[in-house]
Amino acid sequence: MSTFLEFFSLTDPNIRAVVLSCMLLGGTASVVGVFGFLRKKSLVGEAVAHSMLPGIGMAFLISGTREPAILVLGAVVSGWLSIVLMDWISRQKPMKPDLSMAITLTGFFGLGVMLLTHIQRGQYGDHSGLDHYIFGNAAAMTQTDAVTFGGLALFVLIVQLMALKEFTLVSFNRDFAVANGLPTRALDILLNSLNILAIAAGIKAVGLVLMASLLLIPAAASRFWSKRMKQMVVLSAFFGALSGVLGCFISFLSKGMPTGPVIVVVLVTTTAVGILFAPVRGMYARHRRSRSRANRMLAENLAKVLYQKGEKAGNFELYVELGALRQSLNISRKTLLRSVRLAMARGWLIPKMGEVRLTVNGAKVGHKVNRLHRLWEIYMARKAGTPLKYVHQTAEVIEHLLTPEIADEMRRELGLCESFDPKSEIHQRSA
Amino acid sequence: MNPEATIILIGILVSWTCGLLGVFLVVRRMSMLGDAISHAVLPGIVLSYLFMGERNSILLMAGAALSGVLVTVLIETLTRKARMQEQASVGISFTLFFAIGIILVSLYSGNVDIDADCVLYGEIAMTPFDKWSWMQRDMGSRHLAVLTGVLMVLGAAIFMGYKGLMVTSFNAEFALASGVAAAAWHYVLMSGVALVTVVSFEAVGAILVVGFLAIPPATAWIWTKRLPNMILLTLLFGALSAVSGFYVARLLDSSISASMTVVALLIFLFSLLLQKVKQKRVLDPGRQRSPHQVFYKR
Repeated sequence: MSTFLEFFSLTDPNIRAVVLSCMLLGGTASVVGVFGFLRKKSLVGEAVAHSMLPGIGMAFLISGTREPAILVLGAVVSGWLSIVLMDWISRQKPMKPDLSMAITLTGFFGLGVMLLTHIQRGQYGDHSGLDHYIFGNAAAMTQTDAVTFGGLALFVLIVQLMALKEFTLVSFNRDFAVANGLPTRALDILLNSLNILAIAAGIKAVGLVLMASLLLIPAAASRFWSKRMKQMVVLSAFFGALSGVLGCFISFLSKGMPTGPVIVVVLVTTTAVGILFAPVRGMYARHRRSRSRANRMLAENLAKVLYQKGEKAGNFELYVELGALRQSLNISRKTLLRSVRLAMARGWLIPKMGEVRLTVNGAKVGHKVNRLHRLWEIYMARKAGTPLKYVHQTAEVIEHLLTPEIADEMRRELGLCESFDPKSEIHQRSA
Repeated sequence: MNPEATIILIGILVSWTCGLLGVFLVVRRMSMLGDAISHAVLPGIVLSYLFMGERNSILLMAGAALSGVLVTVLIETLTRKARMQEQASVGISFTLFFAIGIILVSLYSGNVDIDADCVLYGEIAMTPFDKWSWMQRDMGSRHLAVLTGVLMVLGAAIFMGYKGLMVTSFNAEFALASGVAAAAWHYVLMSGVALVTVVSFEAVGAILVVGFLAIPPATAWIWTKRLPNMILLTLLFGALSAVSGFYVARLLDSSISASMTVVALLIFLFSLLLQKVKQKRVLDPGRQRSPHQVFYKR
């Protein structure tokens, strides 16, 4: 608890700087990542992040210092090179984008590992801490690091938010952007640069192996909660900043723990909540929707069959045996019982000792479903020229979905009067 | 066998096992999925280490293959059930698995003799000294034996399943129509990738596995479109990059497995450029313009 307080009271200036910087770079990366995610290029960030390793090694070899600003410069340069190379390879004849990504990623990362091992074995002065750039170590960040990386992140965030509208246009409606006289090419380059800079800002704290996930995961998570660009940006910035701070905290708690993986786990946990429980697009909400739709179909089917039997007998309040119902519906015993329960809950059925009959409301539903079914059959046969053999199958599904407006439109197009109520002629003939 | 020859041989064997699978991944456009799986086997490996306390047991391989298959299932679930973009679900799934693996490694670094860096780029230079013995007799490098075994099994599997693999790779609809179990082949391929990662990661790390899965097959694809030729060329390029990578590493005094990847990349880029030059010559013989072309140009 005392560690918790020590950390979150932010009295230690060093901790304060590092936390602020992690929060900033998490938020920034997530905002930038929304674009990559919506353009379905999420894995590009992965390749670019890995490709920064040779730049770091090279910058160290050339400059001989571990100054974060210089290393970041190297990282940005090699990140850009990797994007250019990836783009060039994927435009060559048999190559494909995913292949060019895999090739560039491994090739550049291999080069980086070569350089790092070369540095470690040679006489190049103090090289300790270079390997922090692979998995990230927020706890090992100095105040200079924090200021450099945090400042970079802040700069990227400001540029990104200032040109948010332009970026959105260029990403999703290129023709409109061109027509409006936007410099699309320059904006593309700027957007790519911001992506690279956002990744570069996180390589010390999060590590380049897992930095790309900070661009991807918050954006993917925010998509479950909203479909509006601005809301997505705000949400994913929140997710990213939160995970940045938490990852930082856990990294401070146990010194050996690399920050990057912790951040990923935090991010995925928040995402999982969205995937499961988000109000509209979440899996639970979708499951409930499809369940309620399936339930309504079951109950409606029952009412429909009962209505047909009543139609034949001339008595809609006819008691029908469950066995006979099962035969005409062609469903299992369990499904039948469920359908009966569902229809009773809707007040459409009255049971009596293994038999059921429709209520007035139930008969109304049965009448409606039957009418839609037959109307659709007539429409398909006359207007779409579907052979009579096949009209029944599509009608079985569409009868539950047709709205009164569409049904009315169909009736008018068929030239039938408003009170027209098709009997089961076609149905019987085709069966 | 002297250590140098052993290292080179291990490099060649890794490149061959990866290349054999990589060819199919490349033509199926699943190279990044290979990348994902080779990262995602990590938690399986670490957990098996922790529970078994022993290297290279069959259980270790099974554990890793299981986590490799689990990640493909997770990717499928995210794409199908949660309706997430495919790239995003790949990215999320494998980074999650990899992150869990790294956390486990750093939590139990006392009990497990692998560290986070070794996971990524291995230490092939140590492999000749990790020997195994059978009936009190020294049998040479353990990795060599394991890799040879896996290569033989894999080669046999691909030879026997060649038709199924080819049909599902090139004409998925036809395969589906003729009753070939496309999904089964998918999972066979994925568990193959997981298996290869397990046996090679100690020696060469995840990155070289991914590199050998993607780069030599892609290079072969530049030169030929026929699958058997592609496989042969992949083996050739793989061996070439393994051998020359070793000497490059010695020259520059750096990581052997990383050098092998870089050499493979260089061969790839060289092939691509050569092919481009060749195409240009075919399209524009002699690069001579007729007079009126020059005229219109102005």
